[in-house]
Amino acid sequence: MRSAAHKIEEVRIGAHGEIQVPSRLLRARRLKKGSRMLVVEAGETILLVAPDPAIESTSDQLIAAFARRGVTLDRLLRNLPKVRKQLVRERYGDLR
Amino acid sequence: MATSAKPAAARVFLDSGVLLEGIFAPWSVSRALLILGRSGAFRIVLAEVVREEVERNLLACVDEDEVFAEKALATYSKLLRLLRPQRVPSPDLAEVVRYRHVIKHLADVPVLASAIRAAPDWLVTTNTRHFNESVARKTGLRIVDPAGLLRVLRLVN
Repeated sequence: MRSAAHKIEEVRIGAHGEIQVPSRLLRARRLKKGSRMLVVEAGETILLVAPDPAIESTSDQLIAAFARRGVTLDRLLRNLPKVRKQLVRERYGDLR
Repeated sequence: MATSAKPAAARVFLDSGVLLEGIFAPWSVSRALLILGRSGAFRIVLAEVVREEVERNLLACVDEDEVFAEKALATYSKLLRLLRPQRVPSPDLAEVVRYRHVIKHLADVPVLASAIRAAPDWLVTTNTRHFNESVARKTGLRIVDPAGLLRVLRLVN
């Protein structure tokens, strides 16, 4: 039976906007005081997304390694069109 | 007792900008997508051309430091394995030629051809200027930006 797979629990917003995450979820997601979560507005709903430890640690390694070389996300995103063009030219030749 | 089949998870094709942002921006919608994809809320579809493009972009920014590059690529590969994506091979020349006139920018054709071949439920891109409504209409692909995916996806079946 998967009847409890999407168990709904009620939380109330406190005086300063804080919410209390049910203890069952804290244990299941290994969250504790000071843990950070992503709050994502998704249409008419709000998603609370707990960081994934495996993704966090792996991406943190990349972020730190590239940051030490002065490489930021902005630079990577700016460079992306150039790389895309090069890759297409190398692989498929001049298709104009 | 009757058992109901679990609905198949939506298949979500990620473009390079979403992957890069998901990796390098811990507090972004794209990161939320990587987490949700890994958790099984939907299935990430990863084209070889997207994987390679991001890899090359990383390499382009590390000059010629081979040790660094090797470590960075190993970490990048590990991250991709964590996402358990469905892989899409690179399109061949015939596919690229076939879809050449579906999208204005030639450089986007291999990604578009990969998406058409993969036939995902959603194509998520940070570049909805290139992957626009006209492209969606011509290909039948449903194209959204990262925030758009969260608006349209049914995360609980």
